[in-house]
Amino acid sequence: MTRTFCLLITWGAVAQIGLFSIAGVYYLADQDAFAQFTRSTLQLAIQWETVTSNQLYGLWLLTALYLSVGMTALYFLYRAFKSFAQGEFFSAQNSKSLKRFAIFLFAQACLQPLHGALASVLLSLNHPAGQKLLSLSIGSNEVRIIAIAMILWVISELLIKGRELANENQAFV
Amino acid sequence: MTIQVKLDLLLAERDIRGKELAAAVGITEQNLSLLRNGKVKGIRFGTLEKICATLECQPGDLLQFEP
Repeated sequence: MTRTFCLLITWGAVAQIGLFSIAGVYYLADQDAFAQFTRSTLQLAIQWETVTSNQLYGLWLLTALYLSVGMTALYFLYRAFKSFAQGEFFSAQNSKSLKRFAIFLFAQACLQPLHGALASVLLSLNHPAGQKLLSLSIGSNEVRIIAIAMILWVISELLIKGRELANENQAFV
Repeated sequence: MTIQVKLDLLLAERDIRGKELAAAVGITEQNLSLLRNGKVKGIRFGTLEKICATLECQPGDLLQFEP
């Protein structure tokens, strides 16, 4: 059962990395689709008729940078769980990968409000004076993700200690 | 200061091969070799008991402290 869960997480991470990459290329190529996607997802009072294509490219770049943090986290998750699925629970590499996943997950959760703020500033650049936006929002989701990242950080430390114990145990006959 | 393992001597005195001792104790020949060369951090009481039973000796016959 554990192996099945590990494999599911491994392939889920790979699928997400692939999907995000394909979606990124698609939205870069089709700016109208990206504009529509942005309108439906960003809950901001943007005057969309003032948004130029350069602003949309800027937003795409900003979002790509933000998502790359999450994708890096997914890559480390993939590496860790691939080894877990092979039965290697206490290797130093696994512990490092899990710790890096926790760090990047933490970073992405912290960057989420910054991404929203920069997106609001970028998209409202052409608004008339006095109507420009700076939107800052932190939801319970971010707090939850930060908590999960902290828990994973501690678990990765436990794995490192476990590895040390396993090494010590191997030195006993 | 080191703890010397005198397993080689005991095996030679009793004319027992390492392979036979490893099989009797239930450890691999590789681990027995590490033990003979003193390249282990420790020895479990269970292993020590089986070695003593097989070689008919006391733990003190097996280990020696050298200041």
